[in-house]
Amino acid sequence: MALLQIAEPGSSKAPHQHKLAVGIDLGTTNSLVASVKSGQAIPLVDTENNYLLPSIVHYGEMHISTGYTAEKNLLTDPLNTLFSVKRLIGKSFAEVDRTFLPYQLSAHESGTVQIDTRCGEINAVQASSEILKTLIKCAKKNLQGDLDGVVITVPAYFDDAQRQGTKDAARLAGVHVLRLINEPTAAAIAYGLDAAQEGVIAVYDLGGGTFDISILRLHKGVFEVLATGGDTLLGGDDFDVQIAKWIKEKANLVDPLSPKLQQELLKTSRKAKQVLSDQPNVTITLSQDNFSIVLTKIQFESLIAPLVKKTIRACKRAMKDANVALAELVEVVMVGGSIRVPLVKELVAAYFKRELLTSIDPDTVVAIGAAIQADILVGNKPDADMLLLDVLPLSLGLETMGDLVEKVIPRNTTIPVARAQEFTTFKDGQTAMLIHVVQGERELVGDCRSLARFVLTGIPPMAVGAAHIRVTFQVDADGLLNVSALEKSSGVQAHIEVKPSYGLNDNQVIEMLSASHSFAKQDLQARMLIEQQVEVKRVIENLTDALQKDGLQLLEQGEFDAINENMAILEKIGAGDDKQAIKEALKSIDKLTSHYASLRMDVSINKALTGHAVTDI
Amino acid sequence: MNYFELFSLPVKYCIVQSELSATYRLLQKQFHPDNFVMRADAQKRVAMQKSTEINDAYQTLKDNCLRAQYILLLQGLDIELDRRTLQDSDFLMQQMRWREDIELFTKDDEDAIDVFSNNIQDHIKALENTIESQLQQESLQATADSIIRLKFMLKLQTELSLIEETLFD
Repeated sequence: MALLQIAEPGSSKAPHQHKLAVGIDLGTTNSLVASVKSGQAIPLVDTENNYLLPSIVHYGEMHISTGYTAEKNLLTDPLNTLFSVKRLIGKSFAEVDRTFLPYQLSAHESGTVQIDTRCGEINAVQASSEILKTLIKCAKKNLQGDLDGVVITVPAYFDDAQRQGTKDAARLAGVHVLRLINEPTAAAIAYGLDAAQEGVIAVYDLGGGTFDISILRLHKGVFEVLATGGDTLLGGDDFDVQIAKWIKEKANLVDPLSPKLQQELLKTSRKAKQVLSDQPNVTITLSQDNFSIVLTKIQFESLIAPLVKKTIRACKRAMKDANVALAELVEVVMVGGSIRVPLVKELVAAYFKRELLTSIDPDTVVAIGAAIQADILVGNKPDADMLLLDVLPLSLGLETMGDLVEKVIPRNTTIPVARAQEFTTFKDGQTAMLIHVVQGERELVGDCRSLARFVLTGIPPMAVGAAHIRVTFQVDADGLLNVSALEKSSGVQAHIEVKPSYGLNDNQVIEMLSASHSFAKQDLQARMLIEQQVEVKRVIENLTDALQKDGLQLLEQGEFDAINENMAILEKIGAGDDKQAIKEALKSIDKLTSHYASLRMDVSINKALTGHAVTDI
Repeated sequence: MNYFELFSLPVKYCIVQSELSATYRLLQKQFHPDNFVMRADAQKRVAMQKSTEINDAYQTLKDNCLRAQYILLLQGLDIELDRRTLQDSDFLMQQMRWREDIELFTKDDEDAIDVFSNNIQDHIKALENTIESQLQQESLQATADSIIRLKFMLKLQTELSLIEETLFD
């Protein structure tokens, strides 16, 4: 069923029940969950009154632990204590930099990176889902009920595979994802709504493992992202690694370092970095050979300067992409734990030539923004006049002859977006075709991220060049890509088989779901049936309502009757428990009503635009 | 519904950008998928398609070159499909010379690059004015040629900014 419920302009929607929704910041170093309580977005605390949960998962002899409990095992059980797994999400084994990674990595047969633990091979999606489960448990306890939905934040510069991986982790954790939103955009909501800000702002977000820069225009509740840039492998962790490398050299430590020593170096380096935020120097000691050395702030800054300068270059590019001059900015917002490093603030302030805004705690601001958005999306604030318009961070392209990339959708295009591309066959009678989708800005396929290979089959055999295959790339509001294909002259829908290059395919996710402890297989089946029945109920309610309003005005009597008939059939099938039959009944009513749906949409567009002077928009 | 109809505008080249973006925001506030996250899956899909169409329309209408090209398309002249070539060897020679010029720029040419960039910008403005009057006179073939010239200039501008990026970053 494809009908839309659209409130008449100016009229308010029906009163409704308060729903439980949270925003989750799934960070590289720390994660947290926040929710709107009595009109105020606040971080939720655990039983020990902590709101930050270290993003660490320990696979122990007896059970899995997360957060501070897991952290205790970093030095004693380095092979089974996973930290910074966010850096591994959506990555292949070959891509991952393994310096100072004490746990053992290997490649899944698909090429995806995984970690060898005592509980077997664990991938980043599974480890992330453990962190999500802990946060959700904490939220349920706090809010005293089941959650209706969550908003999860991701770095703006995350590519398709990384976004899909995050969504899969949520699915494994058993929560309904309302939307994935970008971390800097979430921060902008927290700040923007706070001050009813208008104008162009920049959000500089340097976390533990990732860096984002977003330029946004705020106008009457609309947050329009103009451009975004960043680096998903640049954050505070890399500052630690720079220090660790320096210590290793000074202490004459030779490879291979034991996992325990690697972990000790990282821990010591992180502590040194924190001390240098307000001290001119720090004394570093190692348990091995009573080694001790002084690191000055100046030395530290020269170690990390190339990294910080890299972020400034990304800022310049984003400003250029946004077509905004420095003087036009009304605010520069600083987000993320790593902005505590003085050199970062210094160089950012120097580039933007202004004071930086840090009034909201940089550790919680993203989760707070996500909580505000979750509250609106779930329908708790029907009068909220807020809208996020985000962009595709990296260009999407196709492999063409000679390993070259042909761009299909350029970076910084507002989402949702769709583009079609036409292909033809190069042999008589050809019935299949391989299409390789990549993401990135470079011209050579090898320099971009491989997202997926699509095999088109079922092309009707024709003479060379006679088949016209139209492939449509649709990026949804979560920034996720979907592909469909149609042979134009025959109208045959070509079949697409998706092979994500470094993500998990649907079967793997379902396998993991049924293998996980949280659902027995039967639970899963039962849950799917309930979801379908809810969908049937929604469809019937929406449709009845729509038909009453304008059914006879917009439809021929015959069409009107056919829809009513089908609705009765759907109701009957929906009362049973045949999942396949319900699926088919839903599909058929969807097909039958899609024309009516677009008619209604066009009518409501005309309505939306009349009676509104453009000046009051 | 064509893009102009979607935005309640007459099919005209001349457009007020601030009004266009105001209408865009109004439409997205109603039809963006965020308004439908708690609805049936099929409804979510229709909303995504509509929101996609609104985005596409906005991108087309706000860009001078794309808007002109779209007006021709509505009149039955598809530039992409035509694969037409420009029969103007002077213009093409000039393009080649400019292209050679930008290849030769070095880090010390900041001022020269500025002059060059302003010159390109002037050419773009002039072409846009030509397109506007050609459309008024309904000379479709001439407009199509001007649009192709404009596309050459815009491409040159992109290439220049890429070179600037590599020189000064």
